[in-house]
Amino acid sequence: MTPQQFAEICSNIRTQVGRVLLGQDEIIDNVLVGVLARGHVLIEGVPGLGKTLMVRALARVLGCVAKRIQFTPDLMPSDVTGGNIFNQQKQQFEFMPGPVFTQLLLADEINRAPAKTQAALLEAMADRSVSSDGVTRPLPQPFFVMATQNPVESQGTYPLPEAQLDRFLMKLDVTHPSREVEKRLLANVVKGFDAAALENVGLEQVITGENLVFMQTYLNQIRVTDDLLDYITDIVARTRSHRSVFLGASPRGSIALLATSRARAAMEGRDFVIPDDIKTLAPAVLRHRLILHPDAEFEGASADDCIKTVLNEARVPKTAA
Amino acid sequence: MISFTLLVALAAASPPPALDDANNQAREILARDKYGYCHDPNYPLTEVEAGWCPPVGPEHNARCQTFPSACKAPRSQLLNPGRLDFSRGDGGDGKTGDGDRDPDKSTPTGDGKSDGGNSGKRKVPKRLVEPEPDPFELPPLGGLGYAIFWVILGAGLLLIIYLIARNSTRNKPDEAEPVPPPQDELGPAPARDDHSEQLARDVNTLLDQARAAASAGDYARAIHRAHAALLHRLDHDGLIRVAPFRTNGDYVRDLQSEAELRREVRDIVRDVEQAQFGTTRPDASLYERVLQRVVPIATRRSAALLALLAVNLLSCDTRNYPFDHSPSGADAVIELAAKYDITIKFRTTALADLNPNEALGDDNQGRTLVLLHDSPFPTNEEWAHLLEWADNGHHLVIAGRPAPSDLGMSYESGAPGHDLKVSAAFSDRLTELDLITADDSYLVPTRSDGTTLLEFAPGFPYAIQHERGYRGGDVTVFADDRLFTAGALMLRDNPEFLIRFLRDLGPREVEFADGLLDLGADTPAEAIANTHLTPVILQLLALLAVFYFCRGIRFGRPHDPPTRSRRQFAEHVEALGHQYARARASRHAVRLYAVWALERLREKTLMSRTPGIYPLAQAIAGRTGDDENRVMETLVEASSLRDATSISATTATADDLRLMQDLARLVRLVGGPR
Repeated sequence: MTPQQFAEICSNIRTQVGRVLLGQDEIIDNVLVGVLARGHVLIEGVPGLGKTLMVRALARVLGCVAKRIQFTPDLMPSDVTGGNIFNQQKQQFEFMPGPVFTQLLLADEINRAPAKTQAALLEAMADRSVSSDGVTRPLPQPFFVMATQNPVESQGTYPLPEAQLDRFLMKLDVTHPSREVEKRLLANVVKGFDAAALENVGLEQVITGENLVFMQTYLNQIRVTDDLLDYITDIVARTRSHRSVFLGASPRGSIALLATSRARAAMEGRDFVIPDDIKTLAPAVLRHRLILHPDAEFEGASADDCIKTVLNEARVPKTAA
Repeated sequence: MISFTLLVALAAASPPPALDDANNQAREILARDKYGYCHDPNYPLTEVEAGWCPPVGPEHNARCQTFPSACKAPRSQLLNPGRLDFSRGDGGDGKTGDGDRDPDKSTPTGDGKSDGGNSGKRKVPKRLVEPEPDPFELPPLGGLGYAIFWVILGAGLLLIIYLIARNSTRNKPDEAEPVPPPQDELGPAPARDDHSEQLARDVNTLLDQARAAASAGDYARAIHRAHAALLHRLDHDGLIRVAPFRTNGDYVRDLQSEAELRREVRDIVRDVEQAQFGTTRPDASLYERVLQRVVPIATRRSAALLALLAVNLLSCDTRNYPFDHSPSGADAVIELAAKYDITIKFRTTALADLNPNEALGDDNQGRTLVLLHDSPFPTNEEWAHLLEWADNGHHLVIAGRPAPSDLGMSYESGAPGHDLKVSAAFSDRLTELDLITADDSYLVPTRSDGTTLLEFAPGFPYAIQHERGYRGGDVTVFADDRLFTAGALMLRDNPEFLIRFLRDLGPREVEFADGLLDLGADTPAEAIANTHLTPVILQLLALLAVFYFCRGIRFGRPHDPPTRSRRQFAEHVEALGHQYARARASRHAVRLYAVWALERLREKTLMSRTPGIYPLAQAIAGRTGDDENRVMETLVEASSLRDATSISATTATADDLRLMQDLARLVRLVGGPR
């Protein structure tokens, strides 16, 4: 596969998903980056912005099996991972796989489930396997979790623990579409578009799950110079020393930034990473990994502000300035 | 100065022309464009320069073709005539060229007294005399007034000292600059690539560096420089902002409004990044591809700027005639002298600095000093100095300056005609010269022990030379300095005479002393002192010191503004309010306020021990004059909120705000919160 072929495939995926999800090109790109970089994506946005629709469309275009878990306060861990159930006919316990055994998992409103249920996803997300009753079962390949959470309604929610947040490769903020996009969306509805019946839209499957795994492996060939590794470590180190940040990004954040940068480079038809890849993706990769000082939060500072400051201080390699 | 140096260099490289060819040499010099009066028929002559018009006459002049026409053009006023001031007035005000020269009725003589004999048309300017500063005196204030004045002054000084001391020590721990994190914390410093040294910002320099690197085979560096040239060109044009933290993607996004340029830059950047971060090794073809696209962008903006500059230049009136290139100037004389290996320099140091015992040169020749018409008038001491210097074998030429009294001559005007004769006693060869001057000043010798060099007619000498001492020194006095100006070179054998005269004096270095003599400063401190700006500069320095100590501003070194360690109380309250608003907890906030307000109202109305709302409402209404029912209504609302067992989030923030304002108003009316 050449970089140009890689870029063409990605372009086709974008085009297909963009047919049903209007005006969210950046989100589609970033989700695709997450998929290619073998990561999981946390999407924060108010309901009704098409998060579920995007996952379903993506699953169809990628040729992957998708499942959805609606997280609720009474959701149990076994409802996610599955569990052993006694088979009276066979007189033995049998493992019944939960919805996590899929390729694309939509964890809708993940912050509505208690911590222990959220933690059930930890192993699945990190190791791509599920352990139950001493048996570890691998998850299908590719495996990709796309979780959503609502930033507005805070009552009855369980904020994700830092350990779990860190396992998300990226956190994306979805905003309302523009007026023009919303009008186009309405026009599509008038023409008969039904989000519940994607099969009627005529979405084309661009690749298969095997192809996707191959593309994920291809990213290892994307070249990253030492300068860029320095740039990544400089950015991440600066998040740890920022005065508003209580806890900066972990080395997992550095790795995530590297992986996503490679994915972006490949998506643009390059076989090498450039500083712009890193700088562009840094907010999405790092924003959920920073814990701010309480007083900074009290003053209205956000992780994005801190990252912006950091990016404005880190010297870009081979700059002309 | 450069042209002069080049001329000197050329003259040194080639043998000097024949002396009798000096007139032709002068013609060649005056043919140069810079001598505008020989090329511009409308050249604005001053009245003094127009003195050359009668000798030149209305006919065609071979050396200075347009001068007769310039004589008919309107006159100009020369403002502050001198080598450092090139401005010429438009001549429309009808003032004379020497209008700004002080028309002294009497000029000082060599003994420092007034010289009533100098009544020539060109008046001797006043010596630049430094005005004595007015002594500072306090107004008559009386004893008490003086005491108050000094007390206020002293208090002000003490206050400033106190403020400086306080601010230099105040809050040092809190306002200290943020300590940079240790390098261990930041990890290893980013490796600086071999091209990341401080780059030039000039586009042409960067392109030159790129070409030099390419010719040296360093294509990576060459591409990097070419890329930098492109970015800095766009930066200079205000299209992008180049900064160390900005990526190529940022620059391309900056060009959103210029689609075509954006596409070009994106293509270039793609190749550059391929060379910098890609697997392709930068080579000549890649460099050429980058450069071929960078150069048009980098230069077309320059070309546009140059075109704009050219249009501006063409649209401007470029007729700016420097004083040195005018008929009154000496530039042409200097050029002519340079052709004959004679170096003429303007003296800048004071005459008093002249060493009277200065030794002669290697060839036993003295030096020559020419005091021109507008040079400062020497003091008696300086005259004695100069004559002693001449006694030791040097040559002093006094041109249009009142000569020292012991030379025994004064100046008069009104001599017949402009033609000059060369005295036979001076030189047989020179007697053949045909000289002419614009002025008709002449010398009146009262003690004739010198040799008459030039004269208008018998009894009307123009130049006289006195031998001095026993070492070959002499003093030559000219009735004016016209023969040492460019105007004289237009006519007859004046150029040849000038060259022969200077050469006959011997030395090849001649110093001219003019109005700028001793106006320079030897040191920066002296320059400041000459401008009388010392107090102002000292005050500015004091102000800078105050700024430094008060504000901690390090001039010339950017740094982060001091961070405040604590918020102000108002900011804290505001932030708290925002938090309540974000949580939509206005009902909770008004409940807290209601508890506090009811307590304050009871305290202020002395109803702390009286239970019930109604008595409190009565007391408040009685004190404030408000409607009792309305007060009761507010208090009931507040107390019910206070006593509520649970509060749910509400969206009725307007009602909460109204209740809070009503309670605040009551608290204020009964005596305030304290």
